[in-house]
Amino acid sequence: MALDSKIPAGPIETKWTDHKFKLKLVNPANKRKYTVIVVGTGLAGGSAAASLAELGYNVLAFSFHESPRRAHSIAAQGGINAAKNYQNDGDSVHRLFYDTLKGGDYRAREANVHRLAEVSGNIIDQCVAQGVPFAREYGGLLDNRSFGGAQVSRTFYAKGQTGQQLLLGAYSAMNKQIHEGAVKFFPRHEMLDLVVIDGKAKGIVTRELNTGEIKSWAADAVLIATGGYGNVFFLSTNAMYSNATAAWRAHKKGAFFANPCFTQIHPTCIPVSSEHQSKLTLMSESLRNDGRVWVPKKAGDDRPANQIPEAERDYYLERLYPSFGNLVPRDVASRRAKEMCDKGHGVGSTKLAVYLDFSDAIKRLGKSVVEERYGNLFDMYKQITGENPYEIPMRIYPAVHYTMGGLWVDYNLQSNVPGLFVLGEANFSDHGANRLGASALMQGLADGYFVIPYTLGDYLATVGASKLTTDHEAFKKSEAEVKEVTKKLLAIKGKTTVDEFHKKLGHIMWDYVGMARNEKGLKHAIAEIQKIREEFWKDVMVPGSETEFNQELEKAHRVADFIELGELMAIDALERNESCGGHFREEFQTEDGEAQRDDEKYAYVAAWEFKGVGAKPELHKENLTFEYVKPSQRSYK
Amino acid sequence: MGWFMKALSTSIGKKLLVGLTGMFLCIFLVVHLYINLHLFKADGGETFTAMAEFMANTWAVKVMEIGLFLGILLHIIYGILVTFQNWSAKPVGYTTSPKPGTSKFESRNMIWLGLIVLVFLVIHLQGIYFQVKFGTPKPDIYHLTLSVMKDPTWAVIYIIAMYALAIHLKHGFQSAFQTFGLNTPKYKGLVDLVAYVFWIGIPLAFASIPVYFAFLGGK
Amino acid sequence: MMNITLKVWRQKSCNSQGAFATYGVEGVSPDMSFLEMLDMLNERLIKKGEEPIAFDHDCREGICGTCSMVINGRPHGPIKGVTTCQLHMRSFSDGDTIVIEPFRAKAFPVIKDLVVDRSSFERIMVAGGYVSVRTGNAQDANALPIGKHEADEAFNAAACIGCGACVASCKNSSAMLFVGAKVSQYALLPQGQPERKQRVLNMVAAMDFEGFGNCSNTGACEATCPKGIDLPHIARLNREYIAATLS
Repeated sequence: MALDSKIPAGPIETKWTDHKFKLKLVNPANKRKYTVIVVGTGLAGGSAAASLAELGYNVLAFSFHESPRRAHSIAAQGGINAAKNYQNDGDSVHRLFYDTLKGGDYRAREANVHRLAEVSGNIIDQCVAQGVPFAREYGGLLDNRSFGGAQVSRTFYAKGQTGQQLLLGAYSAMNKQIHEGAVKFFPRHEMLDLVVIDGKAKGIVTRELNTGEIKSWAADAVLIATGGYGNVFFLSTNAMYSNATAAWRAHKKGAFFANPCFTQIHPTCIPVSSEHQSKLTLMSESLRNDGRVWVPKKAGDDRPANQIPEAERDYYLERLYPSFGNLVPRDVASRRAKEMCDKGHGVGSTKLAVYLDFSDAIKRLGKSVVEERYGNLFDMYKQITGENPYEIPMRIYPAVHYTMGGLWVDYNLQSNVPGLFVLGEANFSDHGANRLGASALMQGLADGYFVIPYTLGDYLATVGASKLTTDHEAFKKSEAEVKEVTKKLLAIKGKTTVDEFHKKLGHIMWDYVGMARNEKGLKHAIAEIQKIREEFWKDVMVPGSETEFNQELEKAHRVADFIELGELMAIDALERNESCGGHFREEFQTEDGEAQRDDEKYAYVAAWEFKGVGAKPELHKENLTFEYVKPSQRSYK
Repeated sequence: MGWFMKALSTSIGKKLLVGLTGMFLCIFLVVHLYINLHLFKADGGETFTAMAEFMANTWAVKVMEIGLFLGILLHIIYGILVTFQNWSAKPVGYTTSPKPGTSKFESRNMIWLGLIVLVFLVIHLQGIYFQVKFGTPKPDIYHLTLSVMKDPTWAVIYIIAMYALAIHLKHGFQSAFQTFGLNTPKYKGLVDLVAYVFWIGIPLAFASIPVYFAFLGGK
Repeated sequence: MMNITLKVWRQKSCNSQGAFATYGVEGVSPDMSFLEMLDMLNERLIKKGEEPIAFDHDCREGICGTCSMVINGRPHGPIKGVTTCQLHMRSFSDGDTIVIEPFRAKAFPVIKDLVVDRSSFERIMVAGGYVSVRTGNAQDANALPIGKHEADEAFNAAACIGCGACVASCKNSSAMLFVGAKVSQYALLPQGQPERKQRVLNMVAAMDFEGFGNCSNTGACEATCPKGIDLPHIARLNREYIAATLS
């Protein structure tokens, strides 16, 4: 099947504008005849639900959380990029486009990325209008800071809680529409199936988590905005409930899954301390603005940080990348940290950590300025580790953070299943093989506020309003399937808990499909994951019943999907015989250890079609063409 | 008037009413104390009696008196109403209390402190006010008051009540400013200072009278 | 390694009677988070064929506001400015008995064990916790300068994570700190001015309708708020309410 990305013709600067004009419109009086389902109400879903309701569509919004404000967008710390050039430091739409495309190691669509850069400024305007309290200068204007992978200050922020403030902005816009009756919000409802009728997405099946009730919902279009799948690794910076179930079930109903192996490992996380660790905590990348990363020059140096003299410290990022220094992109910083630890320079009790040192910044700026900038992060670090980062350098280590891969979508954010749209981290679209810091918030809001309101209208105007109800047999069939899987999970009554399976999967994923991958390891991982899957369906232990609030049952559904998705990630990583961005194949690297892309063979999006559990998925390729930015070896030296 | 009654029926409105009547009663306390302190004046009760006469016979004061009783009544009714609502908002409590505590004793026990003051008020009205107002024959207010103040049992009741009043005011006075929305960081220092002087000063001055006459041999 | 005794509130569903159950938890590492200790206990309970303890949690980094339990009489446990998920076992000692209860309030009914229904907060937000602005061509962000002091103060109010610890700790289950924070944020910003009066009236009406209690200015909310939202926000709420009523 040929994948049509539907990228509009014409010069890149006017593609989006021209396209918007060509898109069909739904008459204002007719919009209320259409029902749109939005699954997931974080940044992307929340902003989409609000914007679509403002237009006049009936929106049914679903979240497995009790409130949209609990979505994991809330945890984004550092900021949001926008090409405002308020700092007069040479920023422009083209530069943001260029930086993002290059940061993604040339594995994203030019047209998508350019559109993202174009609307970035509007996002800031929109958020400020909503009352989002961004950081400001004394003159009352907005403040900016710089982030990894960029040489301009274009990141807008609200202390270390930018995601929270932006999410609360989208949440408030959605609340306004709930107040108006235009959005109906269903909390603690988890999507467990996509209903496809005559090849078009026409609804979903949900389980209400408080009561276990399985219910169908019909609509003219379904939007999935359920975030990424980092929790496949068990340990990640994602929230405990973050999961891939909605996206994966849609995949099983025909939606292609693109670039699943593109996962981002964030360089500045608090290191793992014990076997009982349930999640990893991110320390905002903004810390690298003032913190200096180093390891002892001597391998196996056991002295406490403060006793290692300056001359015996290796500020390896500054040494290797003089022009970007500590602000190299995330994939580079992570890989170098791993390399240092692999060579025996790691610090702390586990030796799986490097130092992030603020003593120079404190000397230069004074403790109060450092506290003003990073106080809440320092407090969090101290609370978790029991160490005071004002006195001893922080210990950091990379951790799984974001997934660039996701359901395949075209330029209109529509998947290959007509009527199924995918937004935010759940889609694959804009970050290529590596996402730059402060770009996730930008993409989530761009999709929800400024892209889907236009592109969805075109689809709805084309297909027309449907009279379909949940009485259609396809809904009954889906409901029956969901009930059957649920019953099956409960009936196994094995000896291994869901978490034990999840941890086992996580170990395999981290060891073989993590920061560095190779053919042998990936093949091993695939075999192991298949074994885990078989064991899971024979030996999982899920207590309780399906007709009550049952957190273990929720987890079981999600972990069952993670296992299948994990296998696909390994298959994709094995198929991509090159290194790019977050996907680092040890066989493909330059002499100085940088990722070695193969643009001839792999300048494509790998979109996988589900062929059944355990059956080999089918690969569809969407070739990437670069007209405006010539792919080159990324250099941050 | 609709908007006014509606506002008074909300949680903030009710608290405002309790606060406003409370502040009004505070003004009364100051006036009452001002008169009482003249018991210390060694003029055989001349000034005290004159003041009492003025209070009893001026029509403006009589109007104020009605207002005062209304104020007391509203303060009590709304205080109790608010308390019942608060109890129903927390039908189940916790088995352990937090350590360190998260709130002060007086703030949690306003209703009980208030009820102690109410009980005293009733006794006090019965013992002096009603006697002077409706008693036959009408007693001399100066001597009646002095005799009450000199009675050690009365004095103890008086002191206990003033203690309860002090603790009630300790929370109530500054809390009213918070309810009026005036307790901003800018004015907090001032409010706290005035509140401090008020809750210690007023009850202490009231209590000093029976202490002086009953226990220190005041004449 | 520490040994801890837990007294945990167990309640099958919102309509059933609850009771405390006692569990011994052995081999607790001081580096574990409080919730990881509960995870460990739950794994052991499942293995023994017992029902695990239901508790709400999600981000485990102190920002989503999902965790809702009262630890030794205090929402989010003994440390000021820290949510349950960021609480670590090093804050307890070997041999301690820890009592865990759900957030208690009429407006937060128990769903199961330690999980409560906080949808009353949602309905308050829906009543007015927003600035009515359509998505589209908002004016340039810098066309609206806002003094740093006001912006910072608005941020401090907006930092509320909506966890409900204020309600849980308040003897009256008052939601004034939660509502005050949102009303404050918008009252401080120019964007919030057009709907300023209606917002506070609507949100207070919704708050009362949901059955939250009155504010007695006890300050328990401020003392237990993990994000340091303070009482002046309640004073501002009162001020806003009075101004909106009188004008």
